[in-house]
Amino acid sequence: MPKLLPRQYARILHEVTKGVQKQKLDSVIETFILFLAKERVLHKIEFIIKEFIAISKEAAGVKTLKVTSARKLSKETMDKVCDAFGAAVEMEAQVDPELLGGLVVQDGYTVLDASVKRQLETLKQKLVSFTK
Amino acid sequence: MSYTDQVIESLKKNIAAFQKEVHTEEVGTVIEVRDGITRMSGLTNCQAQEMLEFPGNTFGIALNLEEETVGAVILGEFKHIKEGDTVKRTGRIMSVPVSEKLIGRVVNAIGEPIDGKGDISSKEWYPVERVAPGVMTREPVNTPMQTGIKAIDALIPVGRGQRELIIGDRQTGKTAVAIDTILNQKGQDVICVYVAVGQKESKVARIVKELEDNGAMDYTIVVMAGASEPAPMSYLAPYTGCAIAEFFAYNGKDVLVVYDDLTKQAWAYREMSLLLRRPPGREAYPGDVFYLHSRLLERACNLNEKHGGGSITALPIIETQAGDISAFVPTNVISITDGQIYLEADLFYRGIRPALNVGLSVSRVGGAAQIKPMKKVAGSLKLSLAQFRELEAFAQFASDLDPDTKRQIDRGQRVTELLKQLQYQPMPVAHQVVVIYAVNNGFFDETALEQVKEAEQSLVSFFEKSKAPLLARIRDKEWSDELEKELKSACEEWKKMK
Repeated sequence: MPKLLPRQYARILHEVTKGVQKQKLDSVIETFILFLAKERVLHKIEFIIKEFIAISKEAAGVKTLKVTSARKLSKETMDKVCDAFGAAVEMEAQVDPELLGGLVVQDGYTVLDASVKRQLETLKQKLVSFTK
Repeated sequence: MSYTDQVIESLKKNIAAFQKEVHTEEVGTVIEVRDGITRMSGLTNCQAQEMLEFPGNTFGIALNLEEETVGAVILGEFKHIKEGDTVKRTGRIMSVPVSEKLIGRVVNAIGEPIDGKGDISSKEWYPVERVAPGVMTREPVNTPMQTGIKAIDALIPVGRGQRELIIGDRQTGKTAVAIDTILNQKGQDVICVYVAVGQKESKVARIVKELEDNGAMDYTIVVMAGASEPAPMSYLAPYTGCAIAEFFAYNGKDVLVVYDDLTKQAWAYREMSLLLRRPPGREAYPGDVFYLHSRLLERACNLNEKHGGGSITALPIIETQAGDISAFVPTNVISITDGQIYLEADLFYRGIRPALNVGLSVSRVGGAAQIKPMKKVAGSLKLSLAQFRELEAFAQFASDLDPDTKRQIDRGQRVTELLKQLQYQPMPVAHQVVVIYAVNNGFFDETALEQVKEAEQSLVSFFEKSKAPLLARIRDKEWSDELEKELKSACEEWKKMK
């Protein structure tokens, strides 16, 4: 059988731990680890944990945004961006000087690109196609 | 206002009108990369056959849409792509730029020029995969596509809009038949597209040079996916060639496409499919290898007047292993096409070139693709060849034959000799008719076998010099008892002169 993706293992873990009492949790985790060992995917545990965190956040209705900007953003700006996406939002801030200005916000598999770099590229394309 | 000012002014206008907009994009993450194939998570709304943008200005085509992942092939270099890279959707189905300016150029499988003659600025894009024209837009094949090869034009005629397979072992002159056909389209108002799939680049360079030297690049486009390029390029190249052909055909032109060769495309597709973990079937080809070729060749068509009247004639090439035409891919393509030209290694080594096996080669369109004079003279040619084949083996053992049999064998040998033709020397159809008429009516019977070629030369030059109007009438498809009489007396005149 082909191996599953880390995301699928994480989903399994999320399902089996849902609503389990605290004292039983250890044995559930133990069974799951043994299952991973049997499947020979223990080396992927790092990715599985990462995905598990993402899934449980998603289940709790918390969005994780990846915000990239040209310069480090002030607290106020960050709060503004958070507000725009609703209440329960976690932020991961990154700095990429190549953007020149503006913001790139990634929410799951959707990207909002409002960077100056992108705007300039679009403008360039428009001008080039105009001269053709 | 000078031109510079005009440009500056309109540039300013464009910049002023430029709207800042926020782009929403759907992205995915690369999970794994191997041999030109990637698997990605995300890309939730991705369509089949959609172009994807990888980092470093590399593109790919989404082929496998699965529950958790999307499988794609990468077009071009893939070494810089690594796990965790972000992939963007483009929302565009795989397409290539097309324009009139492509004529005379060499492009790769994604339509980029590779001949160093600068950019081709095309405004239009054609999808590489397109549903073939339906019944209501088509018309039966009714115009010949002259190949300039006597054996083919007389015995297995190809019509505009037909799909005629060229099949044979390696080194039997398959490409030569196709190239001769392209050379013969000079001045016929036909656009030619030569698609080289998985060929040695030296061979393609040689072909392009040959086409240039013969002035054929003035109406030819070469699409190339070389042997050193990754499999997806070989898979894509025939579709790209077809898309370019469609651009011209839908604009009312007659187009000839040569796919050289589809065996290599099938190999490339097998490689991709196995890497994409699609289940292998017979000879490890995936289940849809028939569909791979049928959807490509079905796009060859003869459109009716209402739809522009253009046509696409396809000459796919298939290479067989040790003459085995019953292998998987050859049988598939034979059943898709409207006939095949079968080239044999035995004949080739015996000096019969083109090494055409007249018995196994057929054209299912047939007479509809011949001009009337050719139809008239080719009938008796077929008959004398068939009789000859029957007697040939038998005559090897018999020492003395009755005069009638001897005559048939002599005639057959002369016909075989006349059907030989050197490479890059296509013959106009009127000349072919004259030569075939002459041999049918015994004008070559007294010529020694070794001198048949010379006699043919002298007959052709005699007609060119003193019977040009007669040739012109044959070319204009005229045929009547009276014309036949004239032809006969002209041949007699030539005979006396000799």
